[in-house]
Amino acid sequence: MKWLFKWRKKDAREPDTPRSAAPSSSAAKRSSERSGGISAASPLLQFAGEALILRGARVRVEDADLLFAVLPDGATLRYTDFAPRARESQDIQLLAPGSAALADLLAETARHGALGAFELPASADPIERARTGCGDIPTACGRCVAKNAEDAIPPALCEVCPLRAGRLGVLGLGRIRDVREVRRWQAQSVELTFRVTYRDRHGRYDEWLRFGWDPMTGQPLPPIALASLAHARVLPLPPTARDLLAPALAEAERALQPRQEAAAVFFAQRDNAEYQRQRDDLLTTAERLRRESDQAPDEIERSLAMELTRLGDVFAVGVDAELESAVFITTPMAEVTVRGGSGSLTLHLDLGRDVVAPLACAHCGQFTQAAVLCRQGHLLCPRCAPARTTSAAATVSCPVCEGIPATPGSSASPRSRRGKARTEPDALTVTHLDAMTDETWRRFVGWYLEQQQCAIDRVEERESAPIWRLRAAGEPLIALAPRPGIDRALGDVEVRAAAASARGSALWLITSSPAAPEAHATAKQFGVRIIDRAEMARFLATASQAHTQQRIEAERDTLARIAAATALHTTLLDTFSALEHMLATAENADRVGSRSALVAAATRIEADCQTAERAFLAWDTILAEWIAAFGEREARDGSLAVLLTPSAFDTLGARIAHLREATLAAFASIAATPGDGEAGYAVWRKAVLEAFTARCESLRWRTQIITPAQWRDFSAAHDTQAAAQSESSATSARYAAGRAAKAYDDFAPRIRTGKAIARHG
Amino acid sequence: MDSPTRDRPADVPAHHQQAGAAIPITIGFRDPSDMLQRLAAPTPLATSPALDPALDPALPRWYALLLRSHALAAPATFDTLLAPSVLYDRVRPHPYQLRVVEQVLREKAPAAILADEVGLGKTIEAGLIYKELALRGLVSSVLVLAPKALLSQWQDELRERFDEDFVLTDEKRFSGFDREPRIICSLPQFVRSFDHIAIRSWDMVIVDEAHLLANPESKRRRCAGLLRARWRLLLTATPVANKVTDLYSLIDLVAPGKLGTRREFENEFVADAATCRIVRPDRLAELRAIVAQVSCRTRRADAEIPFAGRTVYTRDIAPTSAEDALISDVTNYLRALYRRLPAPARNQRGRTSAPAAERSGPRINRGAVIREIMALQQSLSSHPRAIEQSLRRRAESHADERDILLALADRCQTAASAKERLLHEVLADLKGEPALIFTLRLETAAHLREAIRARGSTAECYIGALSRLEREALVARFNAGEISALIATDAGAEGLNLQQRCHVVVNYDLHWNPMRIEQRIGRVHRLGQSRDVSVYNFALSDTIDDYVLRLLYQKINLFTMTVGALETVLSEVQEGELDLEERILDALLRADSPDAIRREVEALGDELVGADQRQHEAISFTERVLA
Repeated sequence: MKWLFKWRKKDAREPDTPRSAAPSSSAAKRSSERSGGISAASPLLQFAGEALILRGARVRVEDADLLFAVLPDGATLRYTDFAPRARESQDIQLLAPGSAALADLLAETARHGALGAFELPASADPIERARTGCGDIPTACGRCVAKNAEDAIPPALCEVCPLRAGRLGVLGLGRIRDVREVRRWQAQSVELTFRVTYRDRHGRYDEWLRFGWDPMTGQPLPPIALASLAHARVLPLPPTARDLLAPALAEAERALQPRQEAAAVFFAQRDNAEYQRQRDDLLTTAERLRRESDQAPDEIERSLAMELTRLGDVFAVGVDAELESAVFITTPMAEVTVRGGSGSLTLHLDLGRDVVAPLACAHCGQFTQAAVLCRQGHLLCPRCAPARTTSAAATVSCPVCEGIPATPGSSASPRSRRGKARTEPDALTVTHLDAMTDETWRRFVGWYLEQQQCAIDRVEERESAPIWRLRAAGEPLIALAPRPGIDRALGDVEVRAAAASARGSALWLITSSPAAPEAHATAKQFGVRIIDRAEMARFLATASQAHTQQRIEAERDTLARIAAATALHTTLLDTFSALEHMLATAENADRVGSRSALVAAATRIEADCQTAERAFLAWDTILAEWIAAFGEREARDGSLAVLLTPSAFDTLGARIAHLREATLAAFASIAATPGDGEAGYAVWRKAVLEAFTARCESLRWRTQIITPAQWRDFSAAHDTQAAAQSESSATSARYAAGRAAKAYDDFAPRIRTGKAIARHG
Repeated sequence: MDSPTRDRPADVPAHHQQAGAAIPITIGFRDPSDMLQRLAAPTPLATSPALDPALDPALPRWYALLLRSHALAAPATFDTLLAPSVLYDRVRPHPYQLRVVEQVLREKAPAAILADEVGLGKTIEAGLIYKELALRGLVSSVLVLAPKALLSQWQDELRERFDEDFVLTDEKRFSGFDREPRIICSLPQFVRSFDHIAIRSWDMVIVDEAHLLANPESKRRRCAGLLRARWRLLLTATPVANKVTDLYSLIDLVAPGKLGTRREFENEFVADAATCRIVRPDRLAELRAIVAQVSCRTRRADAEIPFAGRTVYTRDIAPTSAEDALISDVTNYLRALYRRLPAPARNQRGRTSAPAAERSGPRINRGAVIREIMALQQSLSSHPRAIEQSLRRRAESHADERDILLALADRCQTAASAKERLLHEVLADLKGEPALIFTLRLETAAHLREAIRARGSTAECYIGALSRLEREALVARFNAGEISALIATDAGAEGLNLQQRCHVVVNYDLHWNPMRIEQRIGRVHRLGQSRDVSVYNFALSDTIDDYVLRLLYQKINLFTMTVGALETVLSEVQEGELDLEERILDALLRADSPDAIRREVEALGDELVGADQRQHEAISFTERVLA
């Protein structure tokens, strides 16, 4: 056997040296992070190896997919992450998501890492950290500390803004000339990790959210970098641990709640259309059962209530947060004085976390990343002292210098105010989007793109943010979803950077932040489509009403169809009345005087009969289409289904109008012929009129079989008597036609003779 | 998960809070009571890192590892299934089974009808779906409803293949429907206990042989409709068993409201209202499309499972004269014992159910006595050594029958076994070919092992008392060719897979439960078996085993029946309280003459044949409608 590995034994002095710090939120995805403890190829074996080393085991990588460990008690273990390898031998345990072996290791890790206290060593030089962690806001810009009207678009960061790199920005500081350390002390803080579990109809996913909290300031703290944990020293739990934990938990719950709500409302919104559709199915079925009266009413109601509850169970959305770990951290802090060209300020540095603490406003006490320094050295947040900047200078009116007392609540940001004003949102709103975690936001973007009829080919992971590669209307498209942050607008810098990364492809920038005017201008220049806060708000408003809107539109469509059908129904009835009236008034007292006149009248009637026959054929077709325009069986809700669109009814109406004219013309022509004459003419003419009258009557009754105005009740809309009458009239018409044919047979030889005389004469 | 969750009403849109009109939302923040308890009492724990991980010097590294471990959590979507990997050593699903699992999880969730043709492993598919959901924490409370004949099989499958311990409602450890998270329950029991079952909401309900729920007027269908369960899986090879409206009954269970009311469905799709056996031709495609939306159906032709064939050798042999006399006398003794029991009640369909005496008390535990008689009968059929031990054990606890029992036991010592002689002949014919021999009694297994060894062959017993390691070692030796005969009991053979080297199964003792026979053969007749499997059945002439073999099993072609078809047949004939084994025993001990016994067994055989025919009709009807 090849021993291509080194024995590794747990060594308290030997640190795990993670190569990258974990983000504050880590969703369930595979990671390529490696700790350096062992060098297994897969993250699962890597994790197992490190856990075993921490247990005091000696671990070696036997193969790319096989890990071997000797525990302190001499027992041996083998792990693989490749199922076929696990099948080779009973003593090889499979590490796979969900497997018992992995679950055991995870449980052990959770047990060991769940609760404790440790001290972080100083990992940064305070002087250097202060220099890099704080920057002067250029007087020529100053938009990040400028005053904004409440409804105005918040500022976008300029290209050189110190805030862009997560630093502090101070207007009025000037170029940093000198930094001096004033003092050092130890500070205590709490870091909590929550496992947030999201469940909906599509399944479940977990996300871990870390929440650091400073008990002195009550401010949130950034999560500890994994690298700094390698050098941490364990401490006994502080005696005040319980007292520290309670407020930290309360703060964490406050911080988590909007994120949970945002996710929950989004998931509910995502499935709402399908939920409502299935709910409608249940309600319609129950309604139908009530009509069918096969079941006792209370049984139907009970059954409906149960099905609705069951439907609710299926679609239920749950977002649960559970504390997974709580650690009490002692970190070295340093206070430094920074002297710039125009002023000086005091900074507090967390040397364990390697971060600069946010600045406290001298007026309202709120913490801020961007501040203004007045001439007297008061550090002020932009809300207390908005700066008015020109390219040459900045003017600040300092409320501290002017002795203006701070007003409670005046410090709230415009976005925060929006948040507080959000008391009765009726659906998913842009405020929810602001509160989403990155993972939820990512899912939201995927859903948004689907709603825009985009087919997502793949999602590429980039360091900064994912990139969606998709197709919209068959054309390739790239989508990015930057989140500039609360109180920040999407700026031209972000648009330019995105356009550069798109390399000429069509690009969408999707954000819940407002887009600055310059961002829109740049987007126009590069052909980028920005879906900003305003557009997103419009989309959400539409989406939230989608189902209702669909129902309204469906109802509207039905009503339009019914209106068109009813109008056509009236037209048909009018037409047949007119035709019948015309035939009724075709009694003509004139008598044919001569033989040639008789021939002429007969020839005319013959021609008109042919026209009328063609018209009746067309009427039969039209009435067949009319009948077919309605559902054969009652619809789910017991109504009459109208199958033709209004425009189809219009087309039918046009054909009816045309046919009406043609038929009326034929009948008028017949009516104009003399009513009396010899040689059986009068009998024949009368029989023809009777036959046509019966046929018109039959058509009228056929039209009356369905009354679209009664569409809500399928039975009421159907007149069975009319159907019977139609049949009866059709029979009468056939008899009348027979009589007419017989009369014609008697009369025709004379007509033919007459015609022949006329032709040869 | 024990700590309470403070569900707070979400600050969510009004329409989300309106009951029924909107999707219900729960936002929870679980009280970290464990953590607070640990903090409340740090002193006694804080003495040693072994007791309190918080004092472990490696704590920061554990903490870092914990944070990194978050990346190892299960993926959120069902794009990658977890269960097949986790169950790598227990089940190797066919590609078509994985397709079904994926379809159900991705497209049909949370309810579907698994309508594969008979023998394609619907149980495996349902088990995989359940396991996948359980691994992801989406399902914890599960109720499996199955015909009585299949309950043990479900339990075994779930334990062996899915590493899941389900409890049967008639087990002693069963603590109630409100407490047990995973339950297997018979359909009659389901109806009887519905009030208790319906108290809770289940994460998942699996109904096997779901066509038994097709009748809308049946109590079981009505109860199933009232059950509150998030996930619902209906398993049936014949979703349209008798009428087209069967489909309505099943689809309405998985997708209520989808087909409207029953009358609406009939108006829409049924051409003959009287028999409901013809679908309107113009609506057939639409009906099939609807069915496809809620069900998955794989046909045998599409599955392409390479199954080896089976050859069955039935060997009967006349008992030795001493054996014959012994069987006769012991049977008479058992008959007398049996007839002293209160008669089982018969229900309206003429099927036996729990005896009135048992229901109303005091109190002969009929079930226990039946089990004892059954064990004695099995011993008697098995080997004189086995019945000898059984009689002596009974003599110890029944002083009033001691003399007669000991006298019978003494006679066993001198009786030679004809079946044993037959076994030696068969093994000699096999010429060293490895064989798996099934017996019902441990005593027989031990005796046969010694007898085979005495003839110079190698034999070992594979019984329930062996540890896991011992079993693995035995299988390894058997597969390595070190053992030529492995003598197993049914209980011991659970999870045994010997298809690698062995293709001979000897039913030295016949089991009266056909499912057990199928399971025995399944130990070697499974995927991976490259040769035809030979099945040897032993029976003493003109004994009950002989009748069962010839009048029951051969009548329904048990040994060559399509895999999976047996379950459906049995589920139909075994709805009462008495299972098939008890009915055979009843036939044996109630009748006075061999002819009467034969007639009883034959009648039972006819019943099975009838069920088999009905199943074939249902299959062809389903094919016609859904093909």
